Amino acid sequence: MRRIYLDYNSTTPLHPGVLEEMMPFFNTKFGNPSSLHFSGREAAAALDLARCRAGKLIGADVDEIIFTCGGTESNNLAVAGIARRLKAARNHIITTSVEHSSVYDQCVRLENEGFKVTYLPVTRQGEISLNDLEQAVNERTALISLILANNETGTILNTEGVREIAKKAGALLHYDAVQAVGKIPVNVIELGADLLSLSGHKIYGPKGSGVLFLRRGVALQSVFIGGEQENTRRSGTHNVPAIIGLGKACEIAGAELEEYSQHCARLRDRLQSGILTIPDSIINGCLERRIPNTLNASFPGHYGSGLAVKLDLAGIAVSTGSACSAGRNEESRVLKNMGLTSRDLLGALRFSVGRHTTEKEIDYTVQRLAEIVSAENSIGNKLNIVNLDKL
Amino acid sequence: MKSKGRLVAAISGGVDSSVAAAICLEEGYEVIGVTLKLKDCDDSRERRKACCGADDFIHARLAAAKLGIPHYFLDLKADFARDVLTYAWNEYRVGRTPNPCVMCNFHLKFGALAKYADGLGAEGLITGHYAELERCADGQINLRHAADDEKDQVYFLAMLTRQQLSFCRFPLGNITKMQVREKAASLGLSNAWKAESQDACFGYKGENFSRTLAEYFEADMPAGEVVTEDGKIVGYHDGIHNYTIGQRKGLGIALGSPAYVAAIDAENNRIILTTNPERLKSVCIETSKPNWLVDMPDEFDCEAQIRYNQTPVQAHVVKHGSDKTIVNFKTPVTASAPGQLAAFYNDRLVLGGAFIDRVVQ
Repeated sequence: MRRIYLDYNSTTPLHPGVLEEMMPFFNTKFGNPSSLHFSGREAAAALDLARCRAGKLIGADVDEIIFTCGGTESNNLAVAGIARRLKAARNHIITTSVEHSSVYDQCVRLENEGFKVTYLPVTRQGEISLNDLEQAVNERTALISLILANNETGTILNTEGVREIAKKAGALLHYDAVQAVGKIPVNVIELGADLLSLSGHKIYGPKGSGVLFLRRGVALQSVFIGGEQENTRRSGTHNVPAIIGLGKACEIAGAELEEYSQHCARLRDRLQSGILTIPDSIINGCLERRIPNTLNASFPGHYGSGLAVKLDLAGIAVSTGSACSAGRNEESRVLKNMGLTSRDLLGALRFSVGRHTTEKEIDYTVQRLAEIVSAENSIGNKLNIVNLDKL
Repeated sequence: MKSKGRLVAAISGGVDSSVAAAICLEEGYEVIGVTLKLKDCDDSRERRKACCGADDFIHARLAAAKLGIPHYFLDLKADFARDVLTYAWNEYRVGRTPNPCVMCNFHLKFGALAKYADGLGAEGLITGHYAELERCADGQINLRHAADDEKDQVYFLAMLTRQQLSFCRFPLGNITKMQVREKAASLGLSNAWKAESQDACFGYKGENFSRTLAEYFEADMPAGEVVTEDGKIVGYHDGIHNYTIGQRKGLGIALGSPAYVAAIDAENNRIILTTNPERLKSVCIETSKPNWLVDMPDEFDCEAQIRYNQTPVQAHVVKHGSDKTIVNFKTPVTASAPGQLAAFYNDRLVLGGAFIDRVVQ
């Protein structure tokens, strides 16, 4: 059966150049970068090259890059690390109601530990109000953590003016840029970010690799302790091959950003036109401010999980939302907090295109999707059980 | 190769359902595996099985991958809590003995899951039950005892409607458990020699189902008296739900000779004991909510089974209207319990079933 992968926001295949770069570090260059001898030095030098490449992609200096095991760890470390470090002086966190669960759930946990958290509301387009932010911020605010590009809708947050508000209050600013990096230009200086998270496997790097950018001079309380790696901010032996791969992926993402983003936008827009020919379909999120590869569409009256299963059986991979919350027996928090009706958000599907997507695949997908939706409409066999689950 | 049609297979993670799916796959059907999630994780106490069935889920996924079929998890936790747990607890509370497996089959496996399979465009649902289905030319569908007597599970299927049965595929009906295990091994399934997991889908270690339910519902069941048949108080109980009719072990009361639970008197919150095993025997039961798989006359002879591990006995059944049925046993039957299912057979054929309401001694 023909297989079409339209879930690049969930993960991406390794770029061949990345794999090639990683290979020696599994065997011949197996050293531990913390060792003082030649073998360790060899690995440490390679790690530092990865640091340069990652830093270059986001406008950070080499000493501002902390390697982690991925986006979730980076987000957890950013939020909990800053909150716990500053607790005595500042015990307030501001975030949004549409964050990825690795920020959102961390904030909920911190609330249980005694922190105060403000969850900013968003508009139907997924934008925050600067006025709300100004109202929320105070002298006790330790951190403002915002998702730069939403993983479910692709909406790019309106960040203009945010850094000024943060600065005025003396609050630190963290961006979850996991879905933004590699798709749009991301620069920590332009954003005024003190912290920023990115993930390797979303940009054709290996799974189990990530970066937390931590601006020079900002301290956090680490989560892992013991080995003092990453200048004590992330203990544990480095996953050298993954980090090398991440570095290479960052280099490629930077070099090919414009070309890649145009490729994605062209295919995504083709998909969007096709989907809009399906009666009653709606596009969720902000059409103007959106990462180029992502499309979130609702088929009201249908169930996204049911459509996703039927597409899967037709060889087409899409998702109903974040892969990190797929199929949990609940509605999408992100879409709900954007104000979608229950009917619209239950009928939502996320499509994300990437490097290997072709026009033919897009056309085939639209055709099959239209058939499935139309069949459900006519014979009424909508999968009316929404709680498709995963382990 | 053109597929014979699409079937959904309920894959539990056990060997039976995996092999059932494999058999249909070999017959040329397109098979889609679905695993039910019935309960939440609970790490508060040690379970008999892994918390929430996570071990089964892994075997289910491995089996589906081995067979090369698509596989999904379906969350029926709310259905399970409502249609199985709440039902069971409501029965225990009034001194009856529920049959959760019968309800789980009716509402979940052959209810919600079947509906899901239908939504996927499947023409049938495969399960690993040991039972045979015979599809007659006139549209009648006959449920028959499985070839493997030891594993036969028709008792738990007797309350399915004819419509539900017509959607079922039971590929294990004519083979033995040993053949199933051997087939699983030859297919390289990880669960080929896994231990049986028939009972206790909702139990904790060292705890019976009713006690687990009481904790689940945070129920505060009143303590009460344990009495002999002539009303003498011989001890106290910690809730009538902890007792079943015919129970001998764990009573913690010495009456000189072995004592049995003869009756559960919910109205007076009392457990009634007897030392005479003959008192556990009954010759007649009254049942309700019958389900007939074969059109039956108002009166007929058949074999009746009143719990899973009981050999069916000869009986005479009399229908009283559409709900009530009186079952007269030709030989007395031990420990009939209200709430349990009475299943009726004619040789290998399942005639139907009904729930026991009253036991006449």
